[in-house]
Amino acid sequence: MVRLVRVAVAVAVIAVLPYVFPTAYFTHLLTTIAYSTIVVLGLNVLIGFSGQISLGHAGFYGVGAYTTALLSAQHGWSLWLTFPAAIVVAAAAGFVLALPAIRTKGLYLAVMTIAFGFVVEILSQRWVELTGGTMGVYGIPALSWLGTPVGGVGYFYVVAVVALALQLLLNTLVGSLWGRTLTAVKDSEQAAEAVGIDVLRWKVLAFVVSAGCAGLGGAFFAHQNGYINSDAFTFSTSLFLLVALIVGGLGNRYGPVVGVTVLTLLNQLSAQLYEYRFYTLGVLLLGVLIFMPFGIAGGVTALARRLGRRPAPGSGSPPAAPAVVTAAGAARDGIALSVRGLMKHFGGVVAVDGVDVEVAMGTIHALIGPNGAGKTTFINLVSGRLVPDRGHVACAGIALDGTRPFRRARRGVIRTFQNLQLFSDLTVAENVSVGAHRHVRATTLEFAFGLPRARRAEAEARRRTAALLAALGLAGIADRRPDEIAYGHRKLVELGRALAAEPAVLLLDEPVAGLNATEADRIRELLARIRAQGVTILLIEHNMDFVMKISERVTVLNFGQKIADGTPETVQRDPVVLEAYLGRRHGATAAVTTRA
Amino acid sequence: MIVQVLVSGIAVGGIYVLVAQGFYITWRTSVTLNFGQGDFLMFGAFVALSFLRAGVPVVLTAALVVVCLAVLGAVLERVAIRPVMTAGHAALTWAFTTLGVGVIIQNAAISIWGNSSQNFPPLFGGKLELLRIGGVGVYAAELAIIVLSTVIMLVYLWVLRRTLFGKALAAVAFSSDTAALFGINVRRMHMLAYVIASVLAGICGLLVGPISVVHPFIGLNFALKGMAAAILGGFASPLGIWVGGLLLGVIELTSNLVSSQFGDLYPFLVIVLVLIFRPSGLFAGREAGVDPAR
Repeated sequence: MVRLVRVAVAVAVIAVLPYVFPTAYFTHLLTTIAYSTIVVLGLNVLIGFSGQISLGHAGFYGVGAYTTALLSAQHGWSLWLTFPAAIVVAAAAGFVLALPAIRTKGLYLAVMTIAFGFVVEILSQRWVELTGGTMGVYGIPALSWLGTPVGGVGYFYVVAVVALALQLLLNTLVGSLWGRTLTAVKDSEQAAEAVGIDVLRWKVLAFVVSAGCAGLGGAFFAHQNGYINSDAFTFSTSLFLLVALIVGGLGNRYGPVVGVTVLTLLNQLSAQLYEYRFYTLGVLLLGVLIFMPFGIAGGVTALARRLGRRPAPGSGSPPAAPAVVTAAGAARDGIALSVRGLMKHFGGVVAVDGVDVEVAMGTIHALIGPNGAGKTTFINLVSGRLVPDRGHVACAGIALDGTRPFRRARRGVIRTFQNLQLFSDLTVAENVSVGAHRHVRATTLEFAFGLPRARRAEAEARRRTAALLAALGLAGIADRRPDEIAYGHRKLVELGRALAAEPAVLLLDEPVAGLNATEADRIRELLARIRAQGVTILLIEHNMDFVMKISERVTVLNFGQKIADGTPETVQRDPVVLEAYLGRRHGATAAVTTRA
Repeated sequence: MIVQVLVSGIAVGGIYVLVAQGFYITWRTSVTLNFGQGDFLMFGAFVALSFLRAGVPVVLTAALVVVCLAVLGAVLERVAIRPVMTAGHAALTWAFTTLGVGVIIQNAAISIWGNSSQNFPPLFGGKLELLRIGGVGVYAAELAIIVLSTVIMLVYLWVLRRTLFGKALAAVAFSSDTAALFGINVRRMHMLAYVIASVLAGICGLLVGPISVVHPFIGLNFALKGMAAAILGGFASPLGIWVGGLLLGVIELTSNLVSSQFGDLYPFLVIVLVLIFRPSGLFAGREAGVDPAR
């Protein structure tokens, strides 16, 4: 309802705007703001939400403009076809550009985007046979409806309504599980992969969406004047788009429209200062980033939050005695995780040296050993973060060898991290809800239009999150961000996120390190309940009291080799283990003492 | 003909190498770099041009360019890097702020020196002075670039590998926290890396002047080619970058020979191919180093 009113207001504003100053010049300016907003909305998805960078967005803008211009003016295509073509070609360019760069380093993508912008600039200038170079493309047909041209104001209405629709779609997207997934990828790729998110795919997706938006904006630009030339697609255009986003507010939904409006008007007011336009852009870029990193829209949002009432914490009472995880439904006996001959060396150091471990289903299995024994390396090999030199890993009889971490997570092998990897821009509840990613089947379009499957996924994630937060005692701080809560709570959030994935095998890297005795007892109780529901747990821990109390089986590593394997009691008495922990002489004495 | 293309390619490549070393040294120490490095080069060229026109001798001009750019590098680190490396700023903010400084310098150049292309006076002998070496004609300016950039590279490598400063820099690159514990002033190292990077860019400006025209927008091209050279070297090895940069120069000049219309584009094709087939650079694994991706 509120939303409907807001949309109605926006439509009314769009309807009235051209009549504020009823001149062709002002309408032209408004149209420019509208299609630039379309481009910057896409840029915001890329930079603001996925945390990637593009310094050559004018390239995609240009690709869109030339696609529709050439197809309609020279090949006589209908605009019903050339607009989709502009989007598709620009998106395809984004895909081709992003794919090789994203696999390497963030920096390389930035370099590739500048290079791409430069290439489009050079081609549009010099490939005269195709683009007309600086002479440009003439006779691009204007938009018409039933044979009559829509005219200046009509064209503004069309562009503005499309921009509004795009704004609404993106609002829905970034407010949904889809947007939270993208933010998760931005905040911690490792943790995102660990709950089954295909990070590479999401980053490419963000790039493609962004490039498609730029293509659409470029197409509207091409049909505005019926003429384009290479001057419009230079590095300064990319810079303008970037500064508009930053001034408006990086990662804020309304940053694009605010930034584009402010910057376009500023440019018009200071038209006589054309010579100093780079000063303006440069100073804005520096000043805004240093003094108000969230831009104008970000500042307004923060102010509104401070003035407005805070929402009452915790809505309703949590469901009574919630299940920690829904039963995985797996068989209760057999081998959940089988590791054979696992080996990994770094330079001359053999970190894991031919280790065999079998974890029985529905048990808690501890992996212990002195510092540097190779325990974390072992977890990294099992979760797929590191590639072993040799050896095999299988989960419930299915080989995982050679698969990336997110694939293993989708098989149900879910891990936590020793140095916590929470998504810092998401709240506690959102962190946990992203954990359910591997059960979400809805596509981007379903999320954008709020279709049933997306709504169900959302409701299911909310339900599961609420139950988990209640079980973990985190319901009271569900709306806080990770950096606002205590360390013990952060560990619980990390555990909650892993549980939201409904793991078959849970890999815990030091679940109680840094916690006090009460907190550790609480975790122990929790893990026992999780085990009772059929989840298999492999954990690394230095807290021996904790390990011995909770585990069915203990494997001891030292210098990368397995030196003991058995029940807690036998391992505790094993002279080799005592020697590894306490040194030769003390180990021997201690063994004698325990035997006596 | 082929020898001439080779010589010109190596000369231009020498410039790319120096720009790329600037990227490398700041990336190693602070995991940031100056997206306005090309504009620093342009600024160096204009500063040199002004002094030379005023009749200042070449050597003194070079010294003045070094001083100017050193100051500019320190200011850049203080203004565009340090303030945005704290919490509350998005991860890649430094890319935007350094770009902003570059753009401001561009506008400053337009204001001071105008918007048009300008010709550089020759540094050593006439611009088109041909030297005959073993029956091959070589331009003096190109030969000067080759000799000087080689000398600078040798000094640079010596500093990185043999001096205490170079070792401190390597320590910061490996782990700035540990380096700080051992009494290394990490912030100062970051600033020094930026000073070195912009001095290198400034020297490049002085060197390219005689073989190209100078105008306020030449920067981007050099910055991109410098990045390409750094990518060829995997951002990991100064030697790899050296070879990569020279290779890039030769490829560019050869491709200009093939098609002058789109000659500029072939180097980008090379980068794309390298990213697809050798993402960690042409010489990955030759030199033990920290993973620059960290």
